[in-house]
Amino acid sequence: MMRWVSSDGSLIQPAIYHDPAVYEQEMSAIFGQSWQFVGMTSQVANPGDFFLTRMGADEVLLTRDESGALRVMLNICRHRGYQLCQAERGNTKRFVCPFHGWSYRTDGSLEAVPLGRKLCPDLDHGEFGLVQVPRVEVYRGLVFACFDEAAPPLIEVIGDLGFYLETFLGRRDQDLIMIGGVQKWKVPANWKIGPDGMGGDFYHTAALHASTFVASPSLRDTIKAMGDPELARNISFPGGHGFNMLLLPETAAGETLFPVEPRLLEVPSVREYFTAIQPEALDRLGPLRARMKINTGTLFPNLSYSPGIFTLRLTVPAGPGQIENWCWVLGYADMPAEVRETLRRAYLGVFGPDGCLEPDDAEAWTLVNEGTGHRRMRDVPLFAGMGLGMEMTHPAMPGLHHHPLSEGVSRGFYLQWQEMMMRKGTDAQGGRQ
Amino acid sequence: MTGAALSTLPVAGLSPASGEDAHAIQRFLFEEAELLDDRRYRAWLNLWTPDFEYRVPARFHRQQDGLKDTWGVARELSRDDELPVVLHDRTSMEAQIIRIESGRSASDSPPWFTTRLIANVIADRVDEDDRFHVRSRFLIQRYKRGREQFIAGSRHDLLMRAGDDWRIARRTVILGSDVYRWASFALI
Repeated sequence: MMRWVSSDGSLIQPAIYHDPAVYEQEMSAIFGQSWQFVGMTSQVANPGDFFLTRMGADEVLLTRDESGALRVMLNICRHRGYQLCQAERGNTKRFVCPFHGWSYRTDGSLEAVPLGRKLCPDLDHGEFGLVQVPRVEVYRGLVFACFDEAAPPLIEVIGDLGFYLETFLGRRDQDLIMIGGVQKWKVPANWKIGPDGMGGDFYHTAALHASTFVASPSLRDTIKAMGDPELARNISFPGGHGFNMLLLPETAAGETLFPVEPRLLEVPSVREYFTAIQPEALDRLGPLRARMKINTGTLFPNLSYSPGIFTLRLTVPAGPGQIENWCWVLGYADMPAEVRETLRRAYLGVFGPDGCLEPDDAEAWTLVNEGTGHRRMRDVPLFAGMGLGMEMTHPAMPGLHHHPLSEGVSRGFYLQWQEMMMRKGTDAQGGRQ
Repeated sequence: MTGAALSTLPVAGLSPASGEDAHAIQRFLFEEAELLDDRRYRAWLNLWTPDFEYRVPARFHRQQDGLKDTWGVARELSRDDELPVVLHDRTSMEAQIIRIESGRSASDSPPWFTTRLIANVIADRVDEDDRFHVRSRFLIQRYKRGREQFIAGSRHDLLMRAGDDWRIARRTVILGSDVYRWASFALI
């Protein structure tokens, strides 16, 4: 029976983008169960540092507490429910609720209750700390959290995708840090279309981004290569993850200054920097992975990455027809200022609300939201079947391989989504029963 | 932490522009806005110096530090070594205009209807070289097929006298929001 997505992933009901009941269920079945990116360790490098972020519709505080441990907690005062912290980031000794003055340490424990001894001497402070997100793990400088205490470890969820993610995140002996961000903007669209598109929809580029190809021939050539089956492929994974990547010829291994895009290497200091770190990358990744260039991809449910311009993107749901795009630009601590500036400008030139691609993507997502919302479309399935039946495997490269313009990664995303939505034993809050 | 977006602008020792200059500058900014509403992008680009810089820093909420705090807006803006919302020079701005004028951009074809209001224009003379620091506020409404959006903020411009006319050498836009419900930002 087709509930929302057909068993091969090629047909999708428009209701999944609009039905408020679907959205409510997602907040527990998807965002209550999945590991989600909440920020970079470098954003909370020192005790007392905090970053206000989101897990699905829930606002959470990422902190580094006085002992140096990372904490992820609901940003809500336990006394009367005031939205505790109003600043996006900073460093503090405590979070004080402006309403009645309850204060919390950076580990979330309740520190002081004004007049508590006099008016409520038996109050158990241990019962009234901030609500902790129970699972917090770090992967290569990226902090993830999960509301589900019984969830498998993050590394298991990443699975075979990790083999490839290493080409971006594990290239050096040191972790990437945030060198720019967090840039945020809103698009009136459903959250799924973001990670779906970033995961491996390169089929749209020739049509939707035609204006960019007119304005920027070098970018046109870069993007066209990403759709050339001789050079590129899409790979999808159990768990709904996937990406598009270039696999360069063996002869190119020594000169592949990945992950940065070739056009950025025209800046001498950028070429010099990436040339200098290449032996370390070759040593860590080996010859096969040194030939890989991931273009864009998604880690289910809502973290996407563009290693070529060192970018992470979180698609934050804000209602069935509203998302916030949050973007980070990453780099290494030893990157010279000019290299950092080149990466930031590369990001701004392509993505963000005034990049050469993003305004058209935002328009497409908006008009899909408008189109699929029409009453007479509610039960008319959409098609995501490009490349269906053409999947391949590779002995040395895990995952299911697709033509680079296939919609195979999208199908994997929506099938994982449906599997989690129909999973039994999830209560309304997202906990296991 | 000083917001570099503002620190690059002169803040002290300025004297008000003469009445005649102030009036001419105001008219220049109104006509500039009109060129954008009329979608005469090439003519608009000609109002800028060859090496202009156009910057929209990111803005975020920060906790004010009581009596010790300066309460300055600059502290809410991304520094020069952080990621802004928009950064353009002539090359990248021209590429955006080529993109729009190609007619093949879904976001700009059909184009939005736009109305730009420019107000609170304050012009100060920076030095004897006829450079002027000009502050102004804007409110932009745009409309397309039932979607209506507004964006507001302030601008710090560095203007140069060019004969009887003016050229914009630098513009810093300070937005009144931290999450932008706006794609295609250029041309504020």
